[in-house]
Amino acid sequence: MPQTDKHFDIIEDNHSALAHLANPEPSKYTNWCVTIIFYMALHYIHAYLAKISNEHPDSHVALQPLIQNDLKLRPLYTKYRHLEDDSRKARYDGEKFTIPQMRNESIKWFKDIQSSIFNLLKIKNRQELDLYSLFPL
Amino acid sequence: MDTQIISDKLTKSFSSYPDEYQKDDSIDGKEMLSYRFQNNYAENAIKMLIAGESYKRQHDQIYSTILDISQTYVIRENLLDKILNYLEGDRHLVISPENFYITKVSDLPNIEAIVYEILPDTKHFMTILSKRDIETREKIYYIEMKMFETFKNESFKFSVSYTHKPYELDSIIKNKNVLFHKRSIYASNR
Repeated sequence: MPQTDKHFDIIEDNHSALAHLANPEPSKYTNWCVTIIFYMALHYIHAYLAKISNEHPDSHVALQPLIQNDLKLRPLYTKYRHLEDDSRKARYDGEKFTIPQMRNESIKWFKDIQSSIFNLLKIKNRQELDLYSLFPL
Repeated sequence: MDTQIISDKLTKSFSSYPDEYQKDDSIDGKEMLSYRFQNNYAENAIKMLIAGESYKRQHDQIYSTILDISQTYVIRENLLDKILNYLEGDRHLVISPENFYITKVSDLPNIEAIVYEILPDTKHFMTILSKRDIETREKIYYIEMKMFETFKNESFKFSVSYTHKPYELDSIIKNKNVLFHKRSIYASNR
């Protein structure tokens, strides 16, 4: 099972893929962009659980209650669920999202999760990722 | 009030139907209930919804009919707040996760359907909206959190989706256990 650093490596790898998909036309593959953003957020949650409680949930079913039951993760539950449901809609139905939706919703939820995990884990050796610059208005 | 008392009251309420309904063997439970609800027996509808689990044990074959009609009636008549007050005022009542979820979710804006399936070791609740309504989704997510808190020994999976066209809804709910379907409410109002 991946440890915390490995999760951060995966997030950075996903970020590279996201930058690739969003350039030169950010609105072209928003379905896959939303999916990648969800999985980046998921790996932040996994990184926290690996570090704090040595838990490595192996399914989405297992992750929902773990977020709800952890007092520090609980404020992130609704943001995670928004990303999860949009990602499922994008994957299975090919749903596309507008750039304003990406910026005002998906990226905002992601950013809140990212910032919280950085604070909770007191991360110093990595940088928070700026997704807004990939999807300019 | 415990479930046995509610169940007893429910049984009594059945025995108090008008004679012509009791004598007519062709009148099944569904029609009797329809008759009852058409006469605005709101309290009865509430008790039936609440007593669902207890009642199921005694009258399994018409349990789903009771649940279906009482939920339809309760939603149509805007009795949800009354039910919630009733439920929260008595902690001894046995409420199933399914009833809990329906009661809290079905009255939110833009809800098209709630479906349910049993996965290995997990109950999956899926709510379908008529559009991508972020505010309603947010409210549903808080209800999901409440579900995890209230039913600690159960395992749940939740998902919320939305449709653009009616036929999409049909394909989503096909072969699933439909807990709530807005179109059946429309039908009952005709």
